[in-house]
Amino acid sequence: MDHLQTELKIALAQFCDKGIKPENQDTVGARIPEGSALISKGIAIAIADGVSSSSSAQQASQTAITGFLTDYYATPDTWRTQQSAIRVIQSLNQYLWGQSRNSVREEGYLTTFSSLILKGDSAFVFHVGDTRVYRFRDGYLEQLTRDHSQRIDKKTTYLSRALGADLSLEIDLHKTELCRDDIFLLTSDGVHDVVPRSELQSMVRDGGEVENIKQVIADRALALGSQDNISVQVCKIEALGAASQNDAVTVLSQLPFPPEMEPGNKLDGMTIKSIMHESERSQVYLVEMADGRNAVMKTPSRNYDDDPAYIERFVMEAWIGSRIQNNNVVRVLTPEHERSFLYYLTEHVPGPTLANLIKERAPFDIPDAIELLEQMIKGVRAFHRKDTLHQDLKPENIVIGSNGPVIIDFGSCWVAGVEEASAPFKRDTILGTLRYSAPEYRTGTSIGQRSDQFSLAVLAYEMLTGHLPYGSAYENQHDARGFQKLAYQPARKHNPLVPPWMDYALEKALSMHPESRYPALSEWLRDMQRPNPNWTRKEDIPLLERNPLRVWQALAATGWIAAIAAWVPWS
Amino acid sequence: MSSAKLNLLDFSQANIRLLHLTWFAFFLTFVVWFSHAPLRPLIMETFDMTMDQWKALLILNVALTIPARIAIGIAVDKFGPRIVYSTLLWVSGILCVAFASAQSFEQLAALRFAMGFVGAGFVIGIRMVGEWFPARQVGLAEGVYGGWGNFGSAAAAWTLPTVAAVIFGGDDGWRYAIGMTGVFAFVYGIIFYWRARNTPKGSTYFKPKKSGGLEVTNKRDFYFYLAMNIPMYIILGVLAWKLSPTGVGLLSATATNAMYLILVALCVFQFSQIYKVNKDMLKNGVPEHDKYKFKQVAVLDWAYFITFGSELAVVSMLPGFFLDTFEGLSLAHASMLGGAYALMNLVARPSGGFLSDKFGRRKSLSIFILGLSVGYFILSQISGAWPIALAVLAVMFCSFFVQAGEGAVFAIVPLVKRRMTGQIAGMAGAYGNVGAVTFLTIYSFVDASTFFLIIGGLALVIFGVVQFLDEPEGHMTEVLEDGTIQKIELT
Repeated sequence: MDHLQTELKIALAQFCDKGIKPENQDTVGARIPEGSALISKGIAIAIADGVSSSSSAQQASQTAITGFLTDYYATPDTWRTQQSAIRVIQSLNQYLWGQSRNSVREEGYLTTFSSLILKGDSAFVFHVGDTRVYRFRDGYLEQLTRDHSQRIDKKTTYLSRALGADLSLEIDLHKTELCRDDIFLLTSDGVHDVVPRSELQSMVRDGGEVENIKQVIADRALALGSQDNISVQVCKIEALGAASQNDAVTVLSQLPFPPEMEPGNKLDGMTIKSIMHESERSQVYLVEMADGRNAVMKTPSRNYDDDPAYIERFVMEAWIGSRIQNNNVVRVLTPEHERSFLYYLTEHVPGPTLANLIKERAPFDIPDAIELLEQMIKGVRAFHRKDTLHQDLKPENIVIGSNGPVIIDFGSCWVAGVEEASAPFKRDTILGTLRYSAPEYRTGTSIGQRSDQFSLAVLAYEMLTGHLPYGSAYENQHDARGFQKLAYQPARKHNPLVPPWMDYALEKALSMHPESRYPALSEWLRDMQRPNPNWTRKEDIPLLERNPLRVWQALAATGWIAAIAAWVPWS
Repeated sequence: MSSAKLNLLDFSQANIRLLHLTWFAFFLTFVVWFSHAPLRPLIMETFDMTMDQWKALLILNVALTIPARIAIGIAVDKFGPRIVYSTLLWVSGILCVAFASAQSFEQLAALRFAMGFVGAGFVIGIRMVGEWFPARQVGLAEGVYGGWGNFGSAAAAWTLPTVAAVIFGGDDGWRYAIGMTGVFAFVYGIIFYWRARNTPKGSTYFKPKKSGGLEVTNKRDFYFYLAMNIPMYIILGVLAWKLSPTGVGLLSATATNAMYLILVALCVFQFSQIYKVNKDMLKNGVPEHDKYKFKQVAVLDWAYFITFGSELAVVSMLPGFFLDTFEGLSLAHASMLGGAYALMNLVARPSGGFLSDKFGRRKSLSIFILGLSVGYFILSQISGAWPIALAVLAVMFCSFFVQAGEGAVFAIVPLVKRRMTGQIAGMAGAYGNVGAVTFLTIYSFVDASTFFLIIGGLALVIFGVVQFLDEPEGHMTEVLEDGTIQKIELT
């Protein structure tokens, strides 16, 4: 797994000075972490220029930079870079806006903000205001950001966007791939207002080392009579990283695969008690740990012992599981001894799988099914909160333990943030089990939390009826047209005890189009638990209520016909 | 180290049921594929054929299989094994009935040629069984699948002459017998579609990885690989020549030239595919841990060429050979004895794999090939003066080594490069078919005794080739007395 070992390396030089102004309202900052944070979060470089008309400008720019550099690294590893940065910037904006509002002296806490995040082999730019980010590549200096300023006349320009100006903030973002020897330049208006782009370009090209470039630019800005604070950051890419999740992945993926084991075998101090499940892709054993507790061990199948995509996914499984703490999701355990082989452990939840239960007992009593569903939704929401999709919810992956259902298996999970890390091999494209996975997995449209909603709804339907909502033809469809042809079979058809309103909730969650499903699992659950008042359909309201006039008219007409008929001399 | 247990009678297990369904499908394809062999005299009589024409028919039967494997492989990737296997059975059933009702030698030849694709059924089942069995059992399961399926040719040899003569009788008895196998295949295709599934219930469906050509890991291997593809085209070229006016005269001169052109075009196409798969490698190279030696693949290809190739060829001609050699033998009797060859499949193929794992792979394979060489030399000595029992014994002796060799080849295939097992197996399989065409072409020029002699001689050459095989790395773990599993440190 060589690709995991290359590290991103940069050279950085910063300059920040008040220039001819009495006070320095600019702030620059950077953080170059080491180890796993470098891989999962990357390097952050940021520049802020407090808006000069506001008296607390200096404080605002400092808050923005220090806040960003701390908070960004505190976001969960599973968040995507964009998501992490934008959330952090948004919250800083709210904070600054609040400061301005509460300020006794009615001072505005306003600042521009531009930041550059370098992660693996990509660069992300987040930008508000008129500080700038440039990229120098192949002899050409390109401005990556657009100034958010409004020109009123020749002399006056106004900043049209700034941190702390309004409660709602639009952040420009830009993502680009890195190349070796790229040079990034972050400047405040004290520099780029006086030094034209072409001159910056030649200074970067001829400047040599970053330290030197920085100094040349700063001196030049002063020499040209800059009226503002002078800030410049120069960053040169010396080596690219090929991003991946974290170092744990590297270490684990170098472990050998354990052989197929028999009961009685011992591995790292644990004893194999039985083989729980074997498939073409993996083996699952019940093991006894040294302290006598039972655990479940999953080992990779030797069919894949030289398949990097498989190994990466297997290692990821344990990692995904270990960050989800929920009573309805199986817990990943840390082995007592150092691992000498590749495997992972989860707690052992004794009990039948939902598949067994459905086979024996479906249709379930409605309150039982809803209770199980409620707890399963709790488990799935724990995944969603960590920006993770389960993607393979099926009865075999749910064990009914003594404390309710528990979701096992993280084999198909999708984690935001991982997919943007590039790898030199083709990642496994995994589709969930056909009959439980949403149509978008096969039609190739966008996948999201609503895809898990679909799978949960299939489970709910199966618990309530013992059947599948679209019949057996569902798993044979491959494209959108095929899916459109299928009709939802009302659950009432199989189980007359299912009330119509519950059927509608199911049908909505089982829509072929993700947009037609519920926006949130909680809404769906609510509709499954009690009738949605807005929702009764025409055919369920008695005719008398729906159209009383027509009913009475019909009744009267019948009476008249009867009366006339009685008068007609029939013979 | 893992004791692979497979209870074949446990029908409550879905994968055992599937294994039975699948090997029987393969078995039927073999019955259909070789249904003509034991009925030689009847067919030759009906159409007033020469021996040359008959031999041409035998080659035609295996020719299309070589390109068909590629097409079937793509179809399985796209549509899944279940529907492809069913379709194969349906189509082969129809072709088989058509063959049975052919009115001229030309029709017979064309239909036999078309039926060559039935022989590509093997790959479909291998894929299917691979989906259903865990690593612990998959080797044995595929051994059962391959071995019992191949046994189909023996079953055809044993039953069809009797069915033709006793049950149906008359001049057209053979037509009914062959037609019947076609009907069976067709009906079984329906049953297969009804009962079989692509993956276990509730199992995750994985999109197959891209295919098209084998990935090799250095420049030399790339050219080596290209070179290894050339024999396939040469042998198909020889076949076209054989059918041209210079040979049997089944194709016109224009048609023959068209054939040559098609072959060249196919070759260019395949080379471009191979280049496409390996373009990146040629430019950037591959990481150290991903390297493997293509030499290993080449050796296995040649080993399969001699084992499976000679098996297909011999199974086609053996019933006729017995009939010609021993006077006073009835057709049913002769076919029965000829079928003895394929009988050994039931045990020889699985035990070949087992012995290879146990006693060293190169050593086992060498012994098997040496053994089959001796076997073929003995067969070449068989004459009418031999007691029949001894002749049958010789046939079984020879076939044991042949089929054990096949088993041994397929036990090594996954060890070359696990990730590419399917593609390497596919290439070995293709070489098996190249062998069949080669040997049957040889057979069309010489008599049976020389034919055996040549195979025996070639086997000796390939024995030499096998010595280039590097012993693949075995298990990296060992089990201590108390059951603890430990890594073996490789130095």
